[in-house]
Amino acid sequence: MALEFGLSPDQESISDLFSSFLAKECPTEVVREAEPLGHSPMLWTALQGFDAPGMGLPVEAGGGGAALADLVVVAEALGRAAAPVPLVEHLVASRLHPEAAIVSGDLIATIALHPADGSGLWRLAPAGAVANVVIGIDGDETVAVHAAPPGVAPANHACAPIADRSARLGDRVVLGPASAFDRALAEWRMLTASALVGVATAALDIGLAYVREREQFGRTIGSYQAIQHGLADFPALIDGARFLAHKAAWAGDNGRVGAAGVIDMDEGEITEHCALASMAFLQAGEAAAVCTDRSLHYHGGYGFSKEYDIQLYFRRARGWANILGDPARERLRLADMLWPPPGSTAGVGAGRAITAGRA
Amino acid sequence: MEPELLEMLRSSLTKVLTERSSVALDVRLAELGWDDVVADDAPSALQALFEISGGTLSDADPLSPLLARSLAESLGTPELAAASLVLPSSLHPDELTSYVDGTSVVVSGVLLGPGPGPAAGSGLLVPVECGEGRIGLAHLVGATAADLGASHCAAVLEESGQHPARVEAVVAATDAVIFDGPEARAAWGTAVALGRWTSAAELIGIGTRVLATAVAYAGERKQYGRAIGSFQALQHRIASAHTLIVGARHIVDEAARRRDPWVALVAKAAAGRAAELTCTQAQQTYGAIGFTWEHEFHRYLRRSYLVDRRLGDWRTLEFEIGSRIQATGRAPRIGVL
Amino acid sequence: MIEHPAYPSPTAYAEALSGFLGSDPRVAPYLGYRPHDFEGGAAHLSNLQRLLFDEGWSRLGWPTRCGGLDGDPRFRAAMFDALWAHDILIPEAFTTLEILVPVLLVYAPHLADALLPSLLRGDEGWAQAFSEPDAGSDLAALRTRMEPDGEGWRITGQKVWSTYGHLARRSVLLARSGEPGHRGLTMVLLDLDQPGVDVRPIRAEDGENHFSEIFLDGAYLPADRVIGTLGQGWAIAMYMLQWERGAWGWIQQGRFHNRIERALEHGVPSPAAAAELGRAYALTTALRLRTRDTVNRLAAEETLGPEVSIDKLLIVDAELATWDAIRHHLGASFELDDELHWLRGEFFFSRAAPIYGGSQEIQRMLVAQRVLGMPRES
Repeated sequence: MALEFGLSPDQESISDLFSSFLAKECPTEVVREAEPLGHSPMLWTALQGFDAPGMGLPVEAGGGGAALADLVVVAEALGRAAAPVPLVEHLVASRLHPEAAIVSGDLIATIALHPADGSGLWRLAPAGAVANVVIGIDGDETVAVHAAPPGVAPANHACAPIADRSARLGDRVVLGPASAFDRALAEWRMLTASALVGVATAALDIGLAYVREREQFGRTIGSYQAIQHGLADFPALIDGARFLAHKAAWAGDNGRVGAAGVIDMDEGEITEHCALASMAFLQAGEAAAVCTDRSLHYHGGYGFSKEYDIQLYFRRARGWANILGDPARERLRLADMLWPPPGSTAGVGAGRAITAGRA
Repeated sequence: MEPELLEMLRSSLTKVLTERSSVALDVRLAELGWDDVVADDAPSALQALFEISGGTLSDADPLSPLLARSLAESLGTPELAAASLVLPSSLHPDELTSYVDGTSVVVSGVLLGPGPGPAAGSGLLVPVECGEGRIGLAHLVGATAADLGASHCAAVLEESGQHPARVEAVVAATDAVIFDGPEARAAWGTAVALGRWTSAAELIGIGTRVLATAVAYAGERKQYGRAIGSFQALQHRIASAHTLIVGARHIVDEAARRRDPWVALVAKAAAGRAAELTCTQAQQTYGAIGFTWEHEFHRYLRRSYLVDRRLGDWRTLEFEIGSRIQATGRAPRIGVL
Repeated sequence: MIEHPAYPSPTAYAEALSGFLGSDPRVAPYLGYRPHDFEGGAAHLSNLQRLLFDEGWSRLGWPTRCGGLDGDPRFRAAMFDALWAHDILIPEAFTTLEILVPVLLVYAPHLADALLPSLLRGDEGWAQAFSEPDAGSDLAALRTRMEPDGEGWRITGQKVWSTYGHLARRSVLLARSGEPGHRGLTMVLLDLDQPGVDVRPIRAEDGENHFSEIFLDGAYLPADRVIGTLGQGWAIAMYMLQWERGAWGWIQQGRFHNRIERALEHGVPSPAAAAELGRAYALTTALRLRTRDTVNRLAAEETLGPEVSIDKLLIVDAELATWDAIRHHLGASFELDDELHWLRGEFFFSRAAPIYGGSQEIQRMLVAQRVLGMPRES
């Protein structure tokens, strides 16, 4: 059996579709115009035009029937374009709460990454500034709350439309127990990982183009060893993160969640969706940080000027990876999943470990 | 010290530290007029001694006698000066691994000797925890390393010129003189600062030597029809290592002038990191030849690891520095104009 | 070394200055001041510059003929230390002075006598314009040219990354007066408030106008505005670099010490960030001691060589490590806390450390080849 590392024909066509759509509808002028909020209603409407908001739901639920393996490809294309639309959050939320207006994208939905606090607030929900529906954990339950979005976000360099949202005020629907939310968190990590892979890929594209063109001392700076060696690290970083995200998608599509997946560190075998999603998220954050940092550096002074595109990606690489919180804590949580501390049950139902911190 | 005088001192020290001799280092240094030199300019003299010791992989042990003398002076007890010092073996330099437990002294640590060292029969000197976090010093008056079953570490370490031996033993408290007042804590603090500063100087000596050898090799070794040292990638590695060594050296110099525990702590952390990263860059420069037994590199690498570990390795010390800055909210400015 | 009659040492001077900063009510608006934008900050801090000049503090360390009160450069370094210790931002103009004034004193005494007093007092601001769109690290590739016009010259070309450019009245500038390569360059002092000069601010990634582009279309330069002689521009630029490294490095270490302390006033200290903080502090200490040495050598009127590239590399190491540690320490409040806008801004600007004033790659090459004697590329 030959190992196949490329995209499947289905993934190829989705990738082509979104890449050409975004190339046309989302050049970097659109990204700039959408700042500082980080949301373009026009781009969202255009995405509705080909049913992207509901693509992650089964056909029988009125959706597009795309698998997670397809959605990671979409998320990567979004990241590569730095697209100012909350499609990652919406895709995840729609799978929890397939209401018609959400499937169509007439209402934007998102998820809150942390349980509501004592005052009933979901702190800094991604896309919280623009979403009409927020889904998250409040006490022991997973709830969806319909309410008007604030339309403004606290200033942040990533220009991410984050905002605090109430878990109590508005039309509130209970979707299930808190555990119903675990998969959503894993899917968000996985798709955000793919978006960050897209960011890193864009940093590579932009960096390569620049060092091939820029001349100093009578030659293109891309001919210098120092720069070649720096760029040569990118593909391994990017591919590593992409493979992890795709493996997480495969595990999710094949029901390998929690106890149905395998985490066997002695054999080095991990096929559990939530653990893989966390690994992908961490690796992609690292890849995006390193690639944007070096690519920016190779631009010299131009990297710092707003005119050049690399700064758009540099800021998002840091911001998107931080929305979940301190990556060091995510690493510790992953370590507990992979090597459960004595007496814990974290390794058995790895999905539970992800929300273990909420008590 | 005048530059010419320092140069002369350095060449005499190189001779003393590298010659094979059964005479104790103390005695040979004394023949050099060492006490006068130290009385005249201790910072320059000691720094030169330790730098050369590292740079030449000398197998003499100047540290134990230096610290024993410092402890003897601090405590006003001259007979301690000739004792052999058992350093704590823990990762965390401020946690002592030996302690006094009611009627016994539980010894766990490392002897840097026993190359030609202090006169036999002067006993062992052990920093000990005396309960409730009190730091003291136990002088095991009649004990020798052999009595306590000191066991030498792997022979391969001796390639580095160092002969550390582990000591794990229990001695009756009645066989020890124990200093456990506040003056013992202060004396140990002074000795640790002295040890960190001089060990930092030794690490600088190692790093400087390793870097110089790598630069020379890169200038001779040819690939693709040119010296490998002319390739950017290698130049940048070497330059970054040199930058770290120079930066660390400035702190070590300041530690020599100031004799301040905080400065010595920062100097040791910076020098340890500089030495380790320099070894990494140098090893890459040497290519495969650097992995052979024959090449001197592995001896310096082993030496740098041993010296780095002494009184706290650089990662632990960086954590220590950061924790203290967090606790006080202050980042003290070292060095005045 | 030149001592000052009023103060036996820079330290004594710094203590006296600290007394002033800590007690004079006119200093209050600058204690802990955080600008909301670059231009507002520059305007506010130019008042501080005037106050320090009028009270004599900032005049120490400069010769009397240019408006100073004598004393060697260590007094200036001591002033920066005292300002940071009181959490007072160093006016950008002081950095410019450190770089430009020594050059004028040596190579254009007539300009120094006439123009420096108002520059020291902050009555006008100056910029530095070296880089061009196609000549960053490769300064010898500069194309902006100067051509004779009567008694004077006409300058045409384009400059970029000119810090302070859009707020400056004049700029020190490198132009080509002769053959290609570094021998054909001349350094001049050009008035920016004239026809033929168009200065456009560049918005940096932190959203502020830190630097400018300068478009020159036949801008007029009187004959007496040439610094040094024709074709001496490269040599003067190299002379300038030694001041840039030492003084800038010293100013920056003061900033890093201060910012570590300010950052610890926010957020919760975590063991996870301790080691990174410790490393940042050690690197900052190395920078402090290194640049102290450099300042001392400049004070002793030694000529510095390629080893000043080490100062620059230590700035890079300390600057990146410090801001990485601060970002780590602050966690999510780094991104989100409105109150910390100024720390975020400084963080983003810190990413330029391996680029500004000669990239890290170029400095490493200089250290390898000129300091350590490694072979040039054949």
